[in-house]
Amino acid sequence: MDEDKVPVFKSWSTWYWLVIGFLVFCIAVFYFLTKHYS
Amino acid sequence: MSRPDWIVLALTLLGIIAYGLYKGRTTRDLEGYFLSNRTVPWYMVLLGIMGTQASAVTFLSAPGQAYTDGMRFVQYYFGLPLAMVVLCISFVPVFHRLKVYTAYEYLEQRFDLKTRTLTSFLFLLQRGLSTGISISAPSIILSSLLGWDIVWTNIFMGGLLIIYTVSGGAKAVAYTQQLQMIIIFSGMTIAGYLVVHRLPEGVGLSEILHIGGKAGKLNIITTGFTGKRGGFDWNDRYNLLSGIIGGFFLALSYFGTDQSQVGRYLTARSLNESRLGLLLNGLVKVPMQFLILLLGVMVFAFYQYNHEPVFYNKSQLDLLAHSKYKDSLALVTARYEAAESQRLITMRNPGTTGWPSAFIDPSLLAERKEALEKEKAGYKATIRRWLNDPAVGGDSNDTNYIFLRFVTDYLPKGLVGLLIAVIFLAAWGSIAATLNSLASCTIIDFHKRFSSRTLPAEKEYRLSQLYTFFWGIFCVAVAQLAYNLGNSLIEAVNVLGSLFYGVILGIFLVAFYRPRVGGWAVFISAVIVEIGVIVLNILSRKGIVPLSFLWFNLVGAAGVVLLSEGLQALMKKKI
Repeated sequence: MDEDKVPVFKSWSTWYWLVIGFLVFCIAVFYFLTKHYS
Repeated sequence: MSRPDWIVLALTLLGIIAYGLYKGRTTRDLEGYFLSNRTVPWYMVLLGIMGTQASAVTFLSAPGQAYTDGMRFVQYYFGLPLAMVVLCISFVPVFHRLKVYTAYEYLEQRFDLKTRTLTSFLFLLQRGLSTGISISAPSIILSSLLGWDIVWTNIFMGGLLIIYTVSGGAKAVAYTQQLQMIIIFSGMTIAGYLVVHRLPEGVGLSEILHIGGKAGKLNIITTGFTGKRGGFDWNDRYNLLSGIIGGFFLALSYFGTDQSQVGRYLTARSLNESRLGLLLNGLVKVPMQFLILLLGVMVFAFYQYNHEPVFYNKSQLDLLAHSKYKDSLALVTARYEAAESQRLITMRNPGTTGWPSAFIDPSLLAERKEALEKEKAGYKATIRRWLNDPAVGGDSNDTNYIFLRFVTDYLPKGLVGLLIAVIFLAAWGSIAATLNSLASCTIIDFHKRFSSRTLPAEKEYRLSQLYTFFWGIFCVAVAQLAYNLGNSLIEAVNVLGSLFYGVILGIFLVAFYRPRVGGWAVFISAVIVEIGVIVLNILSRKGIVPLSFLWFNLVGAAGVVLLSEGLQALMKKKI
């Protein structure tokens, strides 16, 4: 069904990887800030 | 507040009401009133979701929290992005396919009427009370800080938005939330710029991070392994594990089963646009919360170079000034001011030229500064102790007052009015969406469902407006009651949400993922687990079971799923 297509990407697994990657990136940046400025 | 501030405040609020009335024109039926005829584009869904979640306290409390406790609160949102993907795959397409008005309608189709009614009732109870608190909390802060009458502040905070919410329903809510979020982000950005601008020359973002880091405010990532013998502290509210796991279940429950959020993305013009709004919310929420918290660290750095009040809530100092501590307060305040003056001299004029940064002070100077900081902390602790005295009956927590006190003390005329307007708009966006959802549940899940009469569309539309108005008045009345009863009711209602969310999520998870479980099994499980969570909360508050409230969501959801599976196996036949 066309209405039920995944937004932007071809599959949901791409969204999963994007979100997990984004979260890992945020945590890495925050961890660096925490350690560097403590 | 000065005259320009009043003008900016009045124009902003009146502008929003007029915009809501103008944009809120829609078809006079339930589809138009509660779903905006399903015409809302994805970017308005996104702003609506964000505007519903971010209340006034978000913008008042978060900077203050970073100032006092550091930035670790951001971890609370780590589970949210993943929850958005799960919702988009499982919950959202079902709601769209069935063309429901409320999330709870689906539960009758999947289980039975009693499960739908129970879940909708829990939502009305919890949301009706908590919305009253979300009116009361910022009203108390504004009235304390600006000397406004609390009744009128409550009426303006929770009453004026009723005009456009009653008139235009979901469409008015969506359009005003869009404008509100733009004003809120602009106001907060200007405030952030001015904090940095007002710092001494040579002190920029890097120095702010150093100052914040040195004072322990940049504790963005914490593992939570701070318990006995280095074990995990289950009572620690904000850490990596509780944020990812507890936050995931909380976000799944809030965005998937709370009608105030479901009602936002059901207005989208297609399933795809609902999903896009939710997915982008998952990507912007963590950075947005990080920036709001960073503003608190900036304010902290600002007060390293400027006079810091002994207590941010002036009204509580007035309370002490009329108590038995009157004379002692004068003495402590004088000593505090002397220590603060000396500290500012060490910061501004350490014997070298210009404005040095604290972290490169010579060691002797740093020692002196540290001694003065300790002295100041002692005076602050004394004032808190006095406020906690039952004979005084004060509020010793001034975290929520820090950011607004900075705004009123240091920002230029006109901008103070804009920042106060930001607080009102943040409250309005959240409350308007909730009133709309409370009315939709009342008419769809109760009035229409239990009434034997079929009403014409125009009459249903009028009735929906009436219910919206009723809930608006109810919430303002709860806000006033919360003020009269004090902190006890606020705390009780804050806990209420975390007690119900897990169980409601559990019911929906069974509905989506456990097809062999029937209505009776899930209903009995929900009642038993709900009682269990309430008992757990009592034990946690008494310190018998050390468990932070974020874990209640996981316990409630997992409890309902496992128990209903077990009961269904015992019942054998699906009923």
